[in-house]
Amino acid sequence: MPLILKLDHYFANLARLCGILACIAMIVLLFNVFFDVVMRYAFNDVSIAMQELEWHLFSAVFLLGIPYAIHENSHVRVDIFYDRWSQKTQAYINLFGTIFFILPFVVLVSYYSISFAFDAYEIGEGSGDPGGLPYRWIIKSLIPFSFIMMGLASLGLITRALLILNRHPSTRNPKQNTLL
Amino acid sequence: MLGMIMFVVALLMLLLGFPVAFTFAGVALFFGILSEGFELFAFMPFRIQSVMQNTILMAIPLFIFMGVVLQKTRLAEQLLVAMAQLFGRVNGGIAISTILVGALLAASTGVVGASVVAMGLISLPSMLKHNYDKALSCGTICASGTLGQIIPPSIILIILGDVLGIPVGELFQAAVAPGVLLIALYIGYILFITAKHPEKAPAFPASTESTATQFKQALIAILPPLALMLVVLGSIFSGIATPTESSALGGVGAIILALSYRQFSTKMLWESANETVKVTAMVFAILIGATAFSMTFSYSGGDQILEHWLMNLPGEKWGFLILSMLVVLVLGFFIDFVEISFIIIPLLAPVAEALGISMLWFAILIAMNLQTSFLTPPFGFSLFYLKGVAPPSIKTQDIYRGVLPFISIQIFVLLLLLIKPEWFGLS
Repeated sequence: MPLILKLDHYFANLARLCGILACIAMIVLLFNVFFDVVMRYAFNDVSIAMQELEWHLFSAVFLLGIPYAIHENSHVRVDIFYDRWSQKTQAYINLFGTIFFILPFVVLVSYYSISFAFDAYEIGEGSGDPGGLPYRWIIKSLIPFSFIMMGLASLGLITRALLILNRHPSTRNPKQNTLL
Repeated sequence: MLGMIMFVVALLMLLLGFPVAFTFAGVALFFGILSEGFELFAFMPFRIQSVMQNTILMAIPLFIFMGVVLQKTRLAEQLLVAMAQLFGRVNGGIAISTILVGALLAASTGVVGASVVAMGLISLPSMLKHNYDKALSCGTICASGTLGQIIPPSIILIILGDVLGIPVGELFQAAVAPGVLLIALYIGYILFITAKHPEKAPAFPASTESTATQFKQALIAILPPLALMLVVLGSIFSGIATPTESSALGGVGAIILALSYRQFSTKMLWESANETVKVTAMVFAILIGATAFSMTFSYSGGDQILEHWLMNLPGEKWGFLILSMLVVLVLGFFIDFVEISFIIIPLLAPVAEALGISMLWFAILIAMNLQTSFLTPPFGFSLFYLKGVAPPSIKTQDIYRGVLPFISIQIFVLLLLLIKPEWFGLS
């Protein structure tokens, strides 16, 4: 049990780290887009690099947000029955879903997106527009990074389910605490 | 055929209650490998990259952020208190002011849950205190809260714009007329009820404050969100800014509002970002899951079967429209508008286009339809939100009874849109 508890904390911390990075990206994104609008209308000045930075940040918001949201349990569920079932049944469903739905998907997409990012690195892909951001492989690597993090966050669902099934005292309160 | 089986399996698996996004992805993976092999999913990184570079969808986190910040400035609370003071002296006054505030919140924040909760915490106790009918009070709050779904800027319209390939600005503009009609009919209904049964929504005696002071207070409360609304919608409608650009203006505007209300702090900024990230992640996880799902569906030939079948419905255009409206309405009882927009609508869209149905019209019909699902028992979201904050004296039965007239109004407007689109400048 102590090992599972330790792993549980470890996965939770990784997911929270993704959450923190996504929140920073969110705030920067807001001011990035705002800055670009103001520059364009007030000074008629468009920076390609700044505009490309917008979608880089936007990608970070949702790609890093997804693993965090797994940990925070904020992905929507159809809860017609789920809410009425016992904590134990819910734990079995989360075990089943993680093993058969999330993990295979995450493994397969990570596998293909690693070579996707690596190809961009090999050919030294950059922006197609003059003045755009170089090193496209960095943002492309965010896809495999995000999916690996999703996998680790979903392992957190497994450790949580195991703790619940073993009636570990830390699971008495079904609401997970949010540190942010 | 495999595609159809996959569809049914996915819907059944959803009932387990595992997150929707991953249920769709997992089921798609299983059937995709079965029919096409692993290689099919080598496309996924490309599909994800096109989402990353989609600047229309970028408006989603920014508008959510704007809504969350406004919610944290307690804007709704101030509006409700001030407006109820002003209108309270006429029969049905608090109900009418609730509808007006709901409309204003819809146009400035667009977050349904937050509006319903704020009104449930403030309008509901005040209506109950002044002996308003319970069902009428609950119905008014739920209906006013869901206005955020149809009145721009709304997330649902952005998603539909992206899925159906219509400029979001045009879609926002097209949604104004049906939205305003809905508000007018809600108010008309309150006036009708109070004329017939004044005891259901009695006026309360004038407070000691002078009308001028009250008017001033209401003005102070109403001006800032109104200004923000004008900036956001005005910049889109006049063509000065794209919806994404205006969402950033709105986000920064919301922060400025929070500063002027003295509600701003770095903690509040961080909490807003955090909530935004969670909702955004939820939406985009579904988009990624839906991408895998529709990829498998079309590779296994499912969409051809479906298209063939939908194209040959009796009554052609009308048969298709009626069927798709019913499907969306019924599915809306069980699953979220995000899933419907990303999974069901892409299947319907090519058929609608082939049958010569205007995409703009189709989008507004769907948006209006999905809004109704927020109100419909037993699974309407608004009803849950209200039940969550209502005092124990309010029974679920009161809420159900209360929303029925408003659902009828919604369906009436939906039918009007269907039969007389030209009245709304559509088709």
